[in-house]
Amino acid sequence: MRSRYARNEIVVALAGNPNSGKTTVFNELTGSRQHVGNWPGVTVERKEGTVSKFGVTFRIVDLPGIYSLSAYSQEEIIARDFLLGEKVDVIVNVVDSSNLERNLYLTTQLLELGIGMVVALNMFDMSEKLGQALNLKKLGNLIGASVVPTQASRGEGMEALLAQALEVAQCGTCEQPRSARHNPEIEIEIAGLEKRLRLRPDCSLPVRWVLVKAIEGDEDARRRLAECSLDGDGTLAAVERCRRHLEQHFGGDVEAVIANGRYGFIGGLLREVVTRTKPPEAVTVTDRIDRILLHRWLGVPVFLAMMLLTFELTFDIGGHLAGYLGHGVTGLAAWVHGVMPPGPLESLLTNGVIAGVGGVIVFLPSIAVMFTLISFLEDSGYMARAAFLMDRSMHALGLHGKSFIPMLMGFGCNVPAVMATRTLETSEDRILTILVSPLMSCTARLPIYILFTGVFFSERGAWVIFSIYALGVLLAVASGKLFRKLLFPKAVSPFVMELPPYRLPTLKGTIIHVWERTSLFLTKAGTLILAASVVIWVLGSLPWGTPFGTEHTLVGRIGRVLEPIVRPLGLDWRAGVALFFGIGAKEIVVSTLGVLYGLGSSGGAPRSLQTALAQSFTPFTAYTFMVISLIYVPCIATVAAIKRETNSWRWTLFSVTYSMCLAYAVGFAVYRLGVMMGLG
Amino acid sequence: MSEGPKQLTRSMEDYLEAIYNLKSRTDVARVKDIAREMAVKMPSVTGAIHALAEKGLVTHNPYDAVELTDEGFDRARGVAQRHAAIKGFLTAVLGLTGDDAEAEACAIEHSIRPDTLNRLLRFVESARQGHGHSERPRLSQLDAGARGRIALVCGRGHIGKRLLEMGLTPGTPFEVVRHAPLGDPVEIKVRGYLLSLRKSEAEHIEVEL
Repeated sequence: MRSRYARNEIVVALAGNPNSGKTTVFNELTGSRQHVGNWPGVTVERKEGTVSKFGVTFRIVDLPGIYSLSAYSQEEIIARDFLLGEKVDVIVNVVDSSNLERNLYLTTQLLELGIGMVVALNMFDMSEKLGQALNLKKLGNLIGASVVPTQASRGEGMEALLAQALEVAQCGTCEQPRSARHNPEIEIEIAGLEKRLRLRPDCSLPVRWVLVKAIEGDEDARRRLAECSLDGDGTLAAVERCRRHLEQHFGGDVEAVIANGRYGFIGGLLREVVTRTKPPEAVTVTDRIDRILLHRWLGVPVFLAMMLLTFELTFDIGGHLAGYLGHGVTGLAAWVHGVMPPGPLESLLTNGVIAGVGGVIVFLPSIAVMFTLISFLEDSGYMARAAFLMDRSMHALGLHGKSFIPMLMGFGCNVPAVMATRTLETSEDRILTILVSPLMSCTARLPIYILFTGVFFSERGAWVIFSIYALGVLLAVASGKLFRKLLFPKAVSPFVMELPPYRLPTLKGTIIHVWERTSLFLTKAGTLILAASVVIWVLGSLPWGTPFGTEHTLVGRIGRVLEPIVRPLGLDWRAGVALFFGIGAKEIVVSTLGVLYGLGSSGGAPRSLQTALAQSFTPFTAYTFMVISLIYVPCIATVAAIKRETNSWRWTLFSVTYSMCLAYAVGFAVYRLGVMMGLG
Repeated sequence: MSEGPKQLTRSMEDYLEAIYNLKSRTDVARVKDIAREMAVKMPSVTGAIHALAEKGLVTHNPYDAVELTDEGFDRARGVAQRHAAIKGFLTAVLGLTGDDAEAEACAIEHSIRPDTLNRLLRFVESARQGHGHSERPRLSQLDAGARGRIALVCGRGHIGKRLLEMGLTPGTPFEVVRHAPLGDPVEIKVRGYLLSLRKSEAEHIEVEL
């Protein structure tokens, strides 16, 4: 056996239910030595880390949190692909001690895989508090796996966990996982199939597991089974006969009988190993908290107040910190401007690189603060409650209860909004929310509205701005419904969600979470933002010698070329160029308008931007311009975040194209309506 | 019996069924077990096993357990299936007691034609469903504080499966904790934890109060 570990590396797969404390165990085991990425081709996060102990290196892979090893959600498919396909030496199954019954359901399935297993009874304190005394040795004997009590939030039991994992990995034959026995009628079918099965010699499928799944009707398991047998079609036909027979025998679903059997096995297990030291509490702490937080009248107001607070803290604290950082960046640019001789290089540094870096880091404080708060909401168990409260209204819009928070964040900044979609479980819901949340009007667009309403709608300014915000929400709702219908017609994502017990989040967990998010934003989105800033700078500077971003630069010429496109919207080339630069960041729209309409080019008496705009725009073209600013591509940073979160250029491109087309269509409609009404 | 290439006598079918039942209960079918199961003498069993072995339905070494071949397994299962279906009809539709139904089923199962059997199966299925739909309340109809047991999860596919996996198997006790302020979703306590689901999903769950 030892030769297998010649590399001195043991692959440990961390599996467990959501909310079982699996991530805390992972953080405790690996500390900061973790790598966060995506599973190939999907939005589901893949975390991996290493730890060296007892002279070996443990490569720990954190599988997505799952309730079962079926193939219905992407998370489950990923977990089983990994367990079946890769060389996993040990499974560490993290189990929530305060909810053994449901957590062990996954355990019964993992046992069938025939991979050596260590069960981590996490939050072990809780079982004592609940009045349960557990006989760990007996439990271990009954399921054929080592059982280790852990308290990951305090780092307890981690060393024992690794020691057991090492023992199991090096001694694969010592203890065989014991799987649950199913109903006798099913057992005989499994035995019958097993006997007639002719497998390829190189087949490494856990036979029992794959047969149970195939009888349950699991398509993926059937495909695997067929690929692995010498007579694939014959095997599948035999499986189908079994299933039909069992359906007739039980007068209904085989799945129900199998699930019942697993829970029956667990019930028997618990009767053997659990001794009640005191009766269970009738009303738990969680029940008491929920009586207020989910109260019929108080629930929603409390939630909205909390959201308002989250929003305020994110963009207030974040905004202030960003302000200081911004000053630093401006200071740096000024300093470079001072010490370097003027020229292309100096311009590249100040207008391109430093401006680009500045564009990246101003987002950091908000992202850090928001993820601190979201991490708290999530780890404490409140996020599930928020979804519970909001699901009715969000579901009416084709979205999930958990979509509310990202969309709310969108009013502050679309970048954290897109990143906050992480809390959604299915990738359909996640992508849908990512696609619509940029329609929430972020604070960077506000200066544009303020500028134009100030010039054209002074008395009714507030109402005009409100109408823009409302239009954004309406379009988001309509787009959401449209996408749900066209892009994800089958995916009526069910809302079968656990409301986990309230828990106090750990500082370490929060810090790791926030650090992960912010550093990912910096490395993945940051580079893209920087590159785009440089490209925009190049377009705005060439040919050399022309003032930055004016008529004679490349951008100016492009603006002239594009004029026929913006003309039907009642806009001239300057507005087009401003919108183009706005892709870099919406704040730039106003400053570009300043350059293009402002003094610089004419050289005559200084006139204010307001006066210039009043001459070039009518109230309706101004309104059209605001509408377009609202809808079209949020900004490079958001696009980068979308790319990072969807993990797909296809969706990113779709998002950009959709927002462009929608902006043009709505802008055109608004302008034409104005013309028809004689206001244009 | 005309569907198989090999005609089986009624007694041979009984032997196959007995072997099948023994294996499903105990995993092993020895001659003496079969004799006890069918209340006949051991030599009779040995004779029958030889006949079955000649037809390629079982394999058997002296003093060893009897094994069904692939074909024997399918035939045996067919018999067991017919038995279960007829017994289901006699108890669920005609209201016979278990023992009477058992005896009647043993008599009828050998003579019924496949087509008749299929019609019978369909009838039993629809009779069962008809009952379920009219009688039992749905989880979605319950008020906060209601307690009961899960009777049946009707939804097939994704949602039904997920509900089963989350522990909503037939017979599981539950309590409705509350409805969300806007009336939907609903929160229940089941197997010691809190679960929320939309009413549209709770609609699939039949309960007994």
